[in-house]
Amino acid sequence: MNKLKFILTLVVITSLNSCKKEEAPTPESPLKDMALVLSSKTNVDAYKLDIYMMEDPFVGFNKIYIEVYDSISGERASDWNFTLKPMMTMMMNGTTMQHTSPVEQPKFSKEMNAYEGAVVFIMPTSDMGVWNMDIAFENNRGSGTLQFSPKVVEKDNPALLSFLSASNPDKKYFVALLNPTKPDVGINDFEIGIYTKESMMSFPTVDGLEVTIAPEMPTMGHGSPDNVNPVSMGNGHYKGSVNFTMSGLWHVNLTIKDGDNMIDEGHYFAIEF
Amino acid sequence: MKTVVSFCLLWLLPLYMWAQPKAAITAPPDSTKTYQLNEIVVSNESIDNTLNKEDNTNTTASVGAYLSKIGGVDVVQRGAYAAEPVYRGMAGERAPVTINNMKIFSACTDKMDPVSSYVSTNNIKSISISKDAQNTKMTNSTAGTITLHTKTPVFRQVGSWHGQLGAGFKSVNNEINTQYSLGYGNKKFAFRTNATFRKANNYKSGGGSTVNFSQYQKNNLAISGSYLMDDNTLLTAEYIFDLAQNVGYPALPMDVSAAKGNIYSLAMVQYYEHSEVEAKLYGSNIFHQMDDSQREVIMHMDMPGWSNTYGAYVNWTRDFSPNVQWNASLDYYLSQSRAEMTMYPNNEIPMYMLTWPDVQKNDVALSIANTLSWGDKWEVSNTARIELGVNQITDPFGIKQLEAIGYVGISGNVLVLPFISSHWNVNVTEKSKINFSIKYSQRQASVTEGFGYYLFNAQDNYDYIGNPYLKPEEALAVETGYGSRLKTIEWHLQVFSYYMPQYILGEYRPEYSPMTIGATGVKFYVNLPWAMLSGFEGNALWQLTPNLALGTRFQYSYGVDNDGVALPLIPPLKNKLTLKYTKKDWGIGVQLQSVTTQNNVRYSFGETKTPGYNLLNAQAHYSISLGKSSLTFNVEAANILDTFYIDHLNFNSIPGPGRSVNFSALFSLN
Ligand SMILES: [Cu+2]
Ligand SMILES: [Cu+2]
Repeated sequence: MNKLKFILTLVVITSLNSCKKEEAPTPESPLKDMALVLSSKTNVDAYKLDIYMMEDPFVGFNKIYIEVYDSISGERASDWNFTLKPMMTMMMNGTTMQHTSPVEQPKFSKEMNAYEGAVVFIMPTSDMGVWNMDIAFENNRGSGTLQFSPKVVEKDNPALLSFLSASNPDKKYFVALLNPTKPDVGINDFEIGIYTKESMMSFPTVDGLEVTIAPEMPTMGHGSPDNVNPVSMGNGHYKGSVNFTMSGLWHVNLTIKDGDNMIDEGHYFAIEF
Repeated sequence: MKTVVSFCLLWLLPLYMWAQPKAAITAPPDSTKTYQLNEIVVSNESIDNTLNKEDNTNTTASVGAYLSKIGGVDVVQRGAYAAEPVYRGMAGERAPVTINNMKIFSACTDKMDPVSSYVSTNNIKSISISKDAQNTKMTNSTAGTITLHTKTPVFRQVGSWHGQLGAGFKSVNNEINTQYSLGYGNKKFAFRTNATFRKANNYKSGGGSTVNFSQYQKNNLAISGSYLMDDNTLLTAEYIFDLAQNVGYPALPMDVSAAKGNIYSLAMVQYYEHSEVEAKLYGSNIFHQMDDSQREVIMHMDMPGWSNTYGAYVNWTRDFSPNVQWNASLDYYLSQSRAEMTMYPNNEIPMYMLTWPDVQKNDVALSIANTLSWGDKWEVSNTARIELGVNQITDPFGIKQLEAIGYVGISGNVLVLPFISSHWNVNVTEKSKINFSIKYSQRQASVTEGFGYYLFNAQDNYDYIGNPYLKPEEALAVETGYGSRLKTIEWHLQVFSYYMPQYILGEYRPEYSPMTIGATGVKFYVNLPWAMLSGFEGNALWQLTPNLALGTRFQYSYGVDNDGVALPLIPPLKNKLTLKYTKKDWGIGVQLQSVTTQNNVRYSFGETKTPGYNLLNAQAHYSISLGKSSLTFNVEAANILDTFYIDHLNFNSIPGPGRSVNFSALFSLN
């Protein structure tokens, strides 16, 4: 179960003791194959939280699942509210500065039987900066906050693009790759999230842009037919599909426009399988 | 293995039980009669090859050279090895090749290994072309099924051994050919084996420049055994092993490191007073490994291919009277074709695709034929055949690949293919004959046409993608021939025409980008509304004196599609004029091979007008008889004038070989 390669620094600032994983049986979960990043008791009755991520935290769109269950009865709770607050603390020339990153606050998913949210880490953990993630929860019986420090790595093939708008050099955009998470030959769902930076503490989603994709095998110089350009679905998400005619390294080139204004051209996601 | 054996017993059992009640047997097994023949027999064209009988004893020639002697047959050369037969301008599934009626499919996506490449010349007894109505053992095809019949074991009244030992040399590519055959037969049991080894360097074209990547090396071994269980039951087992290595293909961007074939069969023939039942179980496993390590390429690729076929047929023949014969056969095979391409870029993960997506074909066919005759004058034979083919892509990767190019939800297809024909022979006088035939046929698409994935065609520089929605290609064919045999002259002329609705050909799709680096674009196989192919072939032999003969053989095809554009790979008018002087033990001959310019070309297939050429050849042979054995020498001077020429059918316009002096010696013990 413990596939985590990174070291998890765990600080529990609830009024209760830190957890011991063996104490309560974790109920059967569709999240079993994911990485458990945090397992903790709460100050609410005998409730426990298990926090899962699909893979080690990386620069890009990371899904986060929170399982809430009674450690005695095993019963799940679905009426809690969570607020994720990622924060990077950077040391630069002796001064400390902080910034957050785009998040999708967790909502209960029946299918997963857990709360599903996401965070878009916009830079890796390094000597100069560390990430802390606050997970605040509340319900009608109490509230509290858990925290962990994910060690965010940059993937070999980056899953997040950032650039300044071609028509407005003051505006910074972030484009995260959401899908395909398991690329394969054939038709793949293609989904991206687009965000902008308003301030160090605000990274809102951007909807209604016009996105065009052009997959290409750079080594062979060919593309693929019948791709569907991603369209804005709200919440910063854009969905389309991309076709891979063979396995190997692909570049999915993006062109992003806001009406007649070019935002970016020439960036790509490298996808290999 | 176990399943094969028990399956085989199941086949044999009912036949054997059926045999019990019939006691009286008169028909001797056919197998004892014809096996010494070394002659190429062609259905319908009996006088075609008499002129070349001596050439055909030269078993160091290539299979392509053998095939080229048949009226209407030409070959596509992609190098010096493995010529692909073309019958009346039609190849591939339009004129499929079988070995002893066994369905075999090539394992190369680039047509480097036509089925005929898996047999060696010293194992070929005859070659027949089943065009229309003489045979139920064939496939639904446009032009006809070309069948290579191998030599079978010979029974003898008194047990004895026989064999041949041969060697040959060709100066144009320093080819050496060594071969043997060995057989034993008595009244009950007969056995035969033969093997050939050939090795050649690059050949030189006319004028002396070397054609790089035209070398090859080949080993072929065949073993067969027959057993007469009782006077009316013949069992025959046969095995062929073929291994070609280091084969260069100057017309293509790749060569072959190894092409391996294993072909095997077990057959039983049961003879009754007026009928015969043949049942056969067979299989073939072909592996093909292409190689570009000798070529200058941006990236090296691995391109292996596999073709496995397992089949069985039962064929029944009955003479109801001397004038009425009926024939029926039930034929099944399962074939599996897979080809992969992996590329290895520097500092990057390999790139991979399935060029043949593991296509499994289940095919069953029922055919019925009859031959009726009235006196000596009229003979008519009719054939009806129905074939059901079920294609299935068995690798999910292949299904997903097709989805990526727009074939969503396709994992195979089902085809029902009818065939019906009628063939008339009329002996107008004792010395002249007319034939007429009409047929309607549908043929299935090849794996490449139906399911191929970005297969590069070096001739037109396009990548080709198959089309699982292809309709079967149809053919309505009519042909007629007239032949006469006078005192010193005999001649035959055959005229044919094929109207082919749903003709399958590649069509350019500008919206697709090619996979192959440097390719111009992508073509998809489509059904053209129709195409038309007409032509003629004929021959004449004039016996000037009892020893001196002048012969000619010519053939011509003309094909256009519904837009009037020429079909690709259609041979121009070709003529071979031969003067031959023959005595009992020796003979000499000269030959002028004339080919006209081909102006009817398909530019979109990468063809250009090909100038005609003339080649002058000479042959001599001498035999010494030494009691039960004999020694035969053949000398041939091919392309004496060292003419530089490009045959229109030479793929990618590679030049043909220049002057060559070829020797062979054959020692036979009968
Ligand atoms: Cu090949
Ligand atoms: Cu590619």
